[in-house]
Amino acid sequence: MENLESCREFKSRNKILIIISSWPSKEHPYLVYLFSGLKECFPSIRLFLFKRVDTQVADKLIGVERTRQVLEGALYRFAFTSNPFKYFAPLLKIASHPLEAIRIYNSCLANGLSKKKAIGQLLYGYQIIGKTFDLVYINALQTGRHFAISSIFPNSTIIASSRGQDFDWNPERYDSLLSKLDYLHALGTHLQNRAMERKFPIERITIIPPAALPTSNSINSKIVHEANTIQIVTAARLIWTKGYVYSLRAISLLKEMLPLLKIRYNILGDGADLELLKFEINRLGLEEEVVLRGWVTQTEVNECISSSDIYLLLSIEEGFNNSVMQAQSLGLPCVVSDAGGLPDNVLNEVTGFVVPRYNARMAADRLYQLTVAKEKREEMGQNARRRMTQDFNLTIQIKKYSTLFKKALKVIE
Amino acid sequence: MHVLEILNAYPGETFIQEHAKAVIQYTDIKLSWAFWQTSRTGALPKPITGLKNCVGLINPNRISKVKKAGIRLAHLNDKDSYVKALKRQVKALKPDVIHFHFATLAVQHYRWVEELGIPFTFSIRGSDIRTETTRSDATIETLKMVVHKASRIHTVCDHLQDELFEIAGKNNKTTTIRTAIASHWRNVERKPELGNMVSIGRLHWSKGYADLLLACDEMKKKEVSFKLTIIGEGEQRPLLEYMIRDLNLADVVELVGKQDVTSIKSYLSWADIFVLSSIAEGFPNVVAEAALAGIPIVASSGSFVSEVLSSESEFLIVPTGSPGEMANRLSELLDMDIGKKNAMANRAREQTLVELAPDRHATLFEKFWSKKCTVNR
Repeated sequence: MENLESCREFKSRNKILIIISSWPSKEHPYLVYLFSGLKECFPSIRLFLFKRVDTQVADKLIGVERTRQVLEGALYRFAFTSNPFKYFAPLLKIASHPLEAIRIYNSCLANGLSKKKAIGQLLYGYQIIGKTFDLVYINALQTGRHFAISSIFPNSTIIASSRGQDFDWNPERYDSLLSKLDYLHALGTHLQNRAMERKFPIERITIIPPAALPTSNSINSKIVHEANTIQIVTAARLIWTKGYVYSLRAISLLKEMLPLLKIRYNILGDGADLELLKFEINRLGLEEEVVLRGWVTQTEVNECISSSDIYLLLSIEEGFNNSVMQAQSLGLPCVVSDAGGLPDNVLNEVTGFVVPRYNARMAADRLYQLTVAKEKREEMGQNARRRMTQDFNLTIQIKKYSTLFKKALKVIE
Repeated sequence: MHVLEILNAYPGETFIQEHAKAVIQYTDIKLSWAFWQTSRTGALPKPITGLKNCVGLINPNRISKVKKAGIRLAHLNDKDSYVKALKRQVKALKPDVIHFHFATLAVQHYRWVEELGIPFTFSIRGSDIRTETTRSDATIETLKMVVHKASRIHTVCDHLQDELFEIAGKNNKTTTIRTAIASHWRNVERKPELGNMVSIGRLHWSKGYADLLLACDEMKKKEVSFKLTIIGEGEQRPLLEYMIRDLNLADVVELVGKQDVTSIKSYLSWADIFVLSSIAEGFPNVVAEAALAGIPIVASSGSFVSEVLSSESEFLIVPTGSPGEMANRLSELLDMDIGKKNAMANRAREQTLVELAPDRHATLFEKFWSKKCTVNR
C-alpha cells in the first residue's frame, strides 16, 4: 500500500456505499485488502453487508484496528424472521422517514414489483432509508439483483462488478440490472465481451483485474524437493467449475508419458466434488500421485505452491482466478484452461500455457513440456513473477478502482 | 418365512418395488416393508399388493422437530429411548429376518437389530459402498463390522461383490442376484426416429453426463445429425446447463427433468439409440429397461452392462471417460444398417428376458433367505 499517495491526497468527501453479500471469508481474502485500500482513498466509504461479520480473516490480514476502521458504521441487511420483535427497528425507521418510505414503495410498484416485494425492499434495506449516497458500488452482479436499485438509490451513481458466475451461468438474468447501471467493472476481457453481448456500452465498462496477494518474503525462496520428482499443485475449491476431472485425466496421461518420473499432485481445497475426485483418483490409479490436502491456511497454500514446480488449473468456468495469480507471483509457471479470464491471467507461452478447456490431452502435453525442460519452467516462472509484480499488484488495483470511482463521481473526466 | 425389508423413502424405489412384486408372486415368503422417510409413523398404505405390513418407523428427524416445537414426549427424549421405541415397533412385527435394502442403512442400524436377536441381511447396490466408503476410514471399519455381523449379503452385480471383498475381505455369504425388470417395458411401442438418442439417470457425477456432452460436441463438429434427450434431475444440472451453453449444444441436447413412467415410455418409443455414459454404476436398471423396450444401446465400460449383455453382439461398449470414443461409437450406431441395429436390440432383449426375469430373481432370493440365517455375535 506504500504508493497510494495520490489516492490518499484526494480524500474524497463524497458519500460512497459498498454493497457486499458477505464479508470476505478465507475463500476471498483479496477483498479485505481491496476494501482496506479503498477506505484510505475514500474515508467516507460505508459497507452494507448481508449478515453480521466474522472478522477473523481480516484481523489476521490487515490487523484488528484496520478491520475496525474499514467496518466502521457498517450497515446490515434485515434478515426476515418469525420473531415479531425483530421488526421493531425497521418499522421505526420507516415510520421516522415516511415520505422517503412512500417514495421507495411507489417507485418499486412503478418498476413492476408486487406490493409484497415492495414492502420487502423497505424492510430489506431499512438501514439505507433516509440516507443519500453519491456513489453505490455493488461488489457482484448477483448481489445487485436483490435490490430495486433505481427505487432505493434514485440519485446515486451505480457501479457493479461482474465476477464471472453472473454472465457465465445465467446471462439473461442480469439484463434488467445492467440497464440501471452507470458503470460496470469487469475482471477481464472475457467478462467485458459478455457484457457487450448483453448490449452494455463498452465505454461504460472498466476492466480492473484482481491483484496478487502480498506474499511473505520467507516463502519466496524455493523449497527443494526430491530429485526425479515433479510436483504439481492446484489450490481451489472442489467444485465442478474448477474442472478437476480434466486435471486428473491430464495427470494420468502425464504418468503414461513419463512412467519413470515420480509425480506428486497436491490438491488444496475442499468442496462438493470430493467424492467424485476420490472416485476418479481410484479409477485412474492415481492413489500414489495425488494428495487431497483439504482446506489449509493461506500460509500453507503459499508454502505448498512455493515448493511445487507447476501450477495446474483446468477450469471450465472462471472469473479470473486469484490462486493462479498467487502461484505466478510465487514464480510458478501455470498450465491453465482458456475458461473465462484465465487467458488474461496467464500469458500463453510466456508465463505458462493456456489450453482449450475440457482438453486433458493438450494439458498433459503442456505438462510434459514443462516437466522435461527445467530451464523453460524456470524462465516462465520468472516471467510470471515479474508480470505479477509489475502489472497485478494491490497498489495498481486500488488506483484503478479509485480512478473509476472518481470518474463516476465526475471528479475527473 | 417372514422377512421385514427396511427401505429409505416411502413408497420405495421402482427396482425395489419390482423385487417385492416378484418375491410375493413367485415365492411363499411373507414380506413386510418399513420406512424411515415417511410422513407418519405406523401403518402406511401398501404400495404393493400382497405386502404383509407396511409401516413408517419412528424417525429421529421427526422427533427433533417435535422437540424443537417445545413438546416433550417422555419416551422419545433421548437416543436410548428412541432406540427402545424403535425396537418395540419392529419386534411387534415379528420378522424372522430383517433385510436392509442398502448397505448404508445396515451400517447405521445394525446395532439395535443385533440387540433384538433377529438375523439380518443387506443389499449392496453400488453407490452405498462406492460413495459412502470413500468418505472416511471409520465408515469402512463399520462396513467391515456389518459384513461380519450380517447373515447374508446380496450384491446386484458380480463387480460389486469383488469391490466388497476388496474393502472387507473375502467371505462366503455374499450372493449376486440381479435386479428384476418389470415385463411392461416390453410393451413400448417402437416408432424410432433416426438420430434420436435418449439417456436416463440422475444428474449426478456418477452418470458421466459431462463426457456425454463432450461426445455430443464432437459429433456436432463432425456434422452428425442427432438429438439427445436426458431424462432425470439432480445436483449436476447447473454444470450440464453451463456446458450446453458453453459448447453451443442447445439445439441438440435437451434436459427434460424427471419424468413419470408413461412419459419415459413415450421418449423410449421414438428413441433410435439408448446411451449410458456412467463412470460409476451398481447395476444399470435403465439399460435393462431399454433393452426390454428393444432399443439399441451404447454404454460405457463403467456402467457394467457387460455383466448382463455381451458387448458388440448385444450392445456397443465405450471405455469410461473417453468422450472421443463415445462420439465414434454413437456415430457408428446411428449410421448402422437398420437390420443390424434391430438384430442387436433383439439379442439384447432376449438376453435380458432370461437374465433379469422376475421369477428367476424371486427364486434366487428365496434361496438367499432360506439358507440358515443366524445372529453373528
